[in-house]
Amino acid sequence: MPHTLNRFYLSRLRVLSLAASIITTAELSVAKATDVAPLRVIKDQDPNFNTLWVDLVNDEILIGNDAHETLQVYSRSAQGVVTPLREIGGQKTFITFPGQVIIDPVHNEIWNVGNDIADLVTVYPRAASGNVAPIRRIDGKKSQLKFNRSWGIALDTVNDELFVSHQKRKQISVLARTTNTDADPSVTAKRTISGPATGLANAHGIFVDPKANEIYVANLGYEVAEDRTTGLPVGSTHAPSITVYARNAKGNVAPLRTIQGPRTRLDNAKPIFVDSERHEIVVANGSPTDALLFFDQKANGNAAPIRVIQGADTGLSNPTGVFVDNVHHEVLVANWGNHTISAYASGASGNAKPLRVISPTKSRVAAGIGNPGAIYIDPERDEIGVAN
Amino acid sequence: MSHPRLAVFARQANGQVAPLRVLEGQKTGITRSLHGVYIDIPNDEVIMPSNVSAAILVFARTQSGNTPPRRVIQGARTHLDSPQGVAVDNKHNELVVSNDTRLSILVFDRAANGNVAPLREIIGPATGITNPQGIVVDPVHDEIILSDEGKSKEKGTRVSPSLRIFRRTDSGNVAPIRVISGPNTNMLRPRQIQLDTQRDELVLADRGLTQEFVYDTPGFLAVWKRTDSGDVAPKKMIRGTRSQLTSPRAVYVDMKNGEYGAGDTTSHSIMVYPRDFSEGHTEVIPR
Repeated sequence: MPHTLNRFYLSRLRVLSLAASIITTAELSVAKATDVAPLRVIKDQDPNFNTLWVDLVNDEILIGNDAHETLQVYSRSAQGVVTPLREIGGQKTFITFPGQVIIDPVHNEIWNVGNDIADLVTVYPRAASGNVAPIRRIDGKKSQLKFNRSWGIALDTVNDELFVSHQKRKQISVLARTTNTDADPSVTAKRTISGPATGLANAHGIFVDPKANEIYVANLGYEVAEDRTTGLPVGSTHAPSITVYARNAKGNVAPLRTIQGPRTRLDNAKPIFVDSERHEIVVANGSPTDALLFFDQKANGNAAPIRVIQGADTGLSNPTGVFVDNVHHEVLVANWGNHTISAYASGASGNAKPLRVISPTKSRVAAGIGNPGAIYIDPERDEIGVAN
Repeated sequence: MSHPRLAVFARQANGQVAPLRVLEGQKTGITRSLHGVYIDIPNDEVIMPSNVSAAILVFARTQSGNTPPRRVIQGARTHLDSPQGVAVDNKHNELVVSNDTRLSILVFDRAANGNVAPLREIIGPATGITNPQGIVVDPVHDEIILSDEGKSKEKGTRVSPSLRIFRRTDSGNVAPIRVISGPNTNMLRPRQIQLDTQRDELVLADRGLTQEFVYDTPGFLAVWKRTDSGDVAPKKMIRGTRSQLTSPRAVYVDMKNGEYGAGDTTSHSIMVYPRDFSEGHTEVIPR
């Protein structure tokens, strides 16, 4: 299973070679290329769990695996080293840099947003497996949509809407749940939340609570905004925040509430989930902080978390996905840094041991090469630097 | 997703191995969409641009954990707007930056800090800069070499990808002194570029994949003579199934150990190749 993507790329390159050989010479450029096998390859053979969602109807966990660009499904009650029940991956699936995943048991569908170079939302039948085409796509690169490295999506099945966070444009887009740019290439967002008053700054995780009729956004705090004097774009770095909006907010609106400041302990927090039973907002701080923070749902300002799970016994390692299961009273976490899903008792705090750990491998070592945008060599110290 | 960080591995690392040290976390200011890094060995520093906060971050070489940069260049006076590549000229003590959205090359004092103006900016229609990516500075020949993706038809008038070479001291609306561009170059989406000072060569990582999700044009590493100009085929390329390259956007040249390194976007891996390899097959590449 971990080698699926390798095989996938190799096979499609072989197809390329065959295809190239039958293209007419007039359309070709001839270049002397040498197909050199690498001396060494640094790469994760095991999956890296980026995001997760729990299907409480069918008792399954859906994972976004960005090491191999697949979605994996595990039994919710699994424990220890286990094999996934199903995996969706391959060229037909269009899965690329999988961001937030969602299971919609109402319509029996699986959702994923491809972030980074993709900006593509794909929807599959819930039980899909293998190299299957999505049943719907939202191409965020369309000029009227302009997603920006979108990592977060939230689904509101009560009001039939999809919410998409944009990394760079201080924007949330709201689309009809059934939006399909393949069927209607000119489809537009129903509304957007966008502008300087919104407090959006490098938005990642997003969650909609239809009961509270509110939207919750995790912001990393980085932005480029227009300078009022010169009109030129200017970069700035702020404290990370959680911003809260009315569900039907639109335009350049101020948040209803903003959790921000040193008491919040927010640090590189991307995923967000609202526990509507305990009335708590849950976020996960990434590495090296490695913590789950729980805030009162109505918290505002420089508010301290009401509870924190953090410490050596927790097994948290770059937690980048979080889900609260109110049926089994658990908080489940996708740990990007050690190939695990860890489950904690609802209400747990401190250096809490997980109730169980689910993983497809015994290895807890990860290279963690995401999108290596640039590299350097230091021949004096025999080191390679990789910027993600 | 790409978790924003600088991970440092042993040069001979192989397989699923942990980094020796990692610089990451809120205090670092390291963000996603990070497309440049430079090790300044004489000053024992590492420089990284932040695309999403329009900033240049400077760290001590051995820094790790959730620790802040030594210096940050950021603010209205800097003209930074989606910086992509960075390089240091230790002879003249300058820092050069490819500046994507503003379509310019910025030159700062190497030790610049805060909201400071660049010493020089290469900008304007004569430069031909349309999509600046990787950058390298050559203080011996007084040149700055920029890789530029150009523009696809979908984004307006098509502009071919290129390597554009400027005089190191250029400023304002100036034309490049040489341009490597055209169908024989095979360039599709050029990214990080390095200068092999031993062999006087330019080494480029090209992502290929002219459109996301269309996988019929895998990327490659390509080598030109530094002095090449015009529609010149690379001296050599690494490309093909055995290479495992799909979409390389990063490259280094290890002159001491005779190796090239490549960072590959879609296979999430770092590959290392010998710098000298025997001539292989002639690959036919669809345009």
